[in-house]
Amino acid sequence: MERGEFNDLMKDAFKDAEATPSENVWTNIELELEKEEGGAIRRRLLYYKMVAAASVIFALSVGAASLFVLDSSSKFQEQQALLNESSVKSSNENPKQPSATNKEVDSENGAVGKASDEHIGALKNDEGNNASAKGIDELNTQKTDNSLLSKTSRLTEREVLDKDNPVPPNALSKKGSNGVSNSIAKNNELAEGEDELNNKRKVVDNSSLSVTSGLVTTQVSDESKVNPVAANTLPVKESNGMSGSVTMGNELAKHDDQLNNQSKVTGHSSLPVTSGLAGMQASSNSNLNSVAANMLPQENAQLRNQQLQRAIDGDPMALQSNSIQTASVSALPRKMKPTIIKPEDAEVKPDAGALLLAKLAEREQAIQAEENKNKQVDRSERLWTSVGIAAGSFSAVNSSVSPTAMANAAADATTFNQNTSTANQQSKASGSTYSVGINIGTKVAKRWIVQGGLNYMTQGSDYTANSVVASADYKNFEIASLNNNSGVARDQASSQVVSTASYQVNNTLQYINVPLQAGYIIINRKVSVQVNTGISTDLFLQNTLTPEDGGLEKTTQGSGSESPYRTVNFSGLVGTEISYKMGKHYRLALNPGVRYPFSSIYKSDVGVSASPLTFDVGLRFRYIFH
Amino acid sequence: MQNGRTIGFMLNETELIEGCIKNNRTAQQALYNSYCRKMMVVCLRYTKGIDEAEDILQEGFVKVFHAIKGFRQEAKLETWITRIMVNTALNAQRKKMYLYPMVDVEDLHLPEQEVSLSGIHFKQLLELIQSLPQGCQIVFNMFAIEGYSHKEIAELLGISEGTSKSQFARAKSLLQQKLLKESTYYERYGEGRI
Repeated sequence: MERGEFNDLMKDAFKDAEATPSENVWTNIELELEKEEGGAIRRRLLYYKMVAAASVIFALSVGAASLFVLDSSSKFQEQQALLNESSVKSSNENPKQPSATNKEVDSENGAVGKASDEHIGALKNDEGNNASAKGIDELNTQKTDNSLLSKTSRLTEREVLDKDNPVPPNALSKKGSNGVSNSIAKNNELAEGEDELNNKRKVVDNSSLSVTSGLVTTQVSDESKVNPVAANTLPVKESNGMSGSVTMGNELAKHDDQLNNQSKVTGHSSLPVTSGLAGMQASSNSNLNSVAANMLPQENAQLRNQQLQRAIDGDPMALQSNSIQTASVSALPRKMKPTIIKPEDAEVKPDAGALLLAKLAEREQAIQAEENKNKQVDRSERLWTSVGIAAGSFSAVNSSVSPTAMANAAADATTFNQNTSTANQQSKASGSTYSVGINIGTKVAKRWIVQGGLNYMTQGSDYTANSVVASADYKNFEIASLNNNSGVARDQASSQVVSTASYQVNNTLQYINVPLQAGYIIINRKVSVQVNTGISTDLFLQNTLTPEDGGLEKTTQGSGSESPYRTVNFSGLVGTEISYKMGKHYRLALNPGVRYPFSSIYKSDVGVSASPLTFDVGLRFRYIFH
Repeated sequence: MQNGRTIGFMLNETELIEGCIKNNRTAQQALYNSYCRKMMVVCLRYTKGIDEAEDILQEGFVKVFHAIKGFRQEAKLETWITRIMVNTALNAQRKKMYLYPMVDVEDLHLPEQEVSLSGIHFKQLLELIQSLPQGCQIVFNMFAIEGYSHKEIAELLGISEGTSKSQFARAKSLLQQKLLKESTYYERYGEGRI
């Protein structure tokens, strides 16, 4: 539809039309602009805060890790020392131990007899505990246990039991030679009772084990036999007293619970740990092992016993790993019922100001996103130039020699054989490549670039020749190569191929490359990654043949009709570019890439075909114009 | 506002732009004061009321201040700002256009009598344009006043060129009918009295 008079009139009617908006418009614009500036500052502040927080966390983590490593190594050393000491001592004592499989525990066994008066008193209390357990009075059991344990913590007498004893005593105590002692009193208690449904229940209570600080040669019996079911609570206390004790009480219960099919324990064992200053670290392993015995199921108890047995046998690492394992187990939090907070319960009061700010923030984000998009396209590194060098290697992956062409170029069979051999050697040779050049690139889209340049490239390879080409009068000799024995070789009629001893020849090709590549920027940051692909026009300059020994002259053959090499060839390029932005205008790039000629580098009438696959890594210094 | 207005008269356009690029609030206010009234009319043409128009004006000027760094001064500043306002208005109206999609209009009852617009105040025209259906209003503004081609309109609005043409024809028809109906209005008040 053509624009008519009507449209022109309309346009004219609104040409100088003006209407005044309310004052609020500018106020809102100003608010939005200021909010945006404030937001940018806040974002920056938040970023720095996050960096600071991350640094602090990192520093704390490193510090904690260092402490842990130092602590572990010192623990290990102490354990080793104590192990040595205890193994010497324990070998001198071998007290008798009663069987732990007794259902009723005799509190006045030989071990208790050796304990102090306080300990005996404690064991008597423990007997009372048995009575309580039998009466299915859990609270009383707990209290009795606690009193027992508090008393056993003051034990000063040591009882070292032979590790060979398979069954532990009801009460054991050990004392360290330095007077600082930890004791683990092990008290086994077996009780029978009835549950609420009058089912029979056997309660085994308890194992209290006293061990002198750090003496890991505790006479740990096969607790798995004694404690088929164990559920323990383990309160741990530390005091600054010079004596420490570990008291482990286990209560074991056997019963059938028809209602919930769960084991019930008539009494919970308690494990107060009182560590002396010196005994703190030394006793930690035994403490934790005791904890593990209580917390873990039967299989773990067996494993722990095995590890302890290994420790007794002089393997300190067994305890080391065990202590770590049990520590992690004992640190498990109690299962808690999650509290669900229902958001709908809270009364929601919309704030008009907050709504306005939220609306503004939303708009701001949209605008920011659009602006960022424009910025990226318009302002980031649109034109650059670079200088670079590259080095790599090439190998002839697809070379062949045509016998027919070789036969046509040879006067006789000997010449044919020599020429074929030389052609094979030369065309299949691998070598190294170097290039230097300049490039220019531009960004054509947000992530797409186009770049081109001019490079000088040399490709050098060594091959073995076993003939020379002599002039008709045999006065001049040249290196045998495709330059003089192929279909395009000069002076073919007046030259002859003469067999010689093998000698090395270096063949260096020189090219001018004009690459043109398209690239896609995968990561566009300070460190950028891009993938490039394109073609290169390879202009052959010359090749130089240099013999390794001095008998022959170096030969150089330029491009043209007499050269066996194509003057113009095309290669495919694929590569990546990893670059680092060093400043507003500079980037340093690393360019690994592959080059492969689309057609043979030799002319078709040479009778030889070769397309060397080149892999090189370039280093480019890029100057960004804008 | 006074400060911005005063400085707006004192500064030339280039200085205003430079000030806005530096986020100078006074320069921004001066630029706003220079163009807000003209742009308000643009926004009114694409909307149905003042509140909606002011929302677009506000959003448009925020965009202007964001994008002014990229203003190459190849076009007139007023043209550039107008284009931003139109784009902002189109974005705002796009949702409505989804709700009321534009379709080709088959039966048009164009009045045989050509209506003259001479002497009609723009405010009256504005009211008539605002009374047009949403699609017609946008196409009419873009074609008749902004000067977009139907092809450009079709690309911008995501409709066919034919739809754009038919919507414009419908808008023109409706406007002419309304102008004819209100001819008594001119007789009563005369030209240029509004």
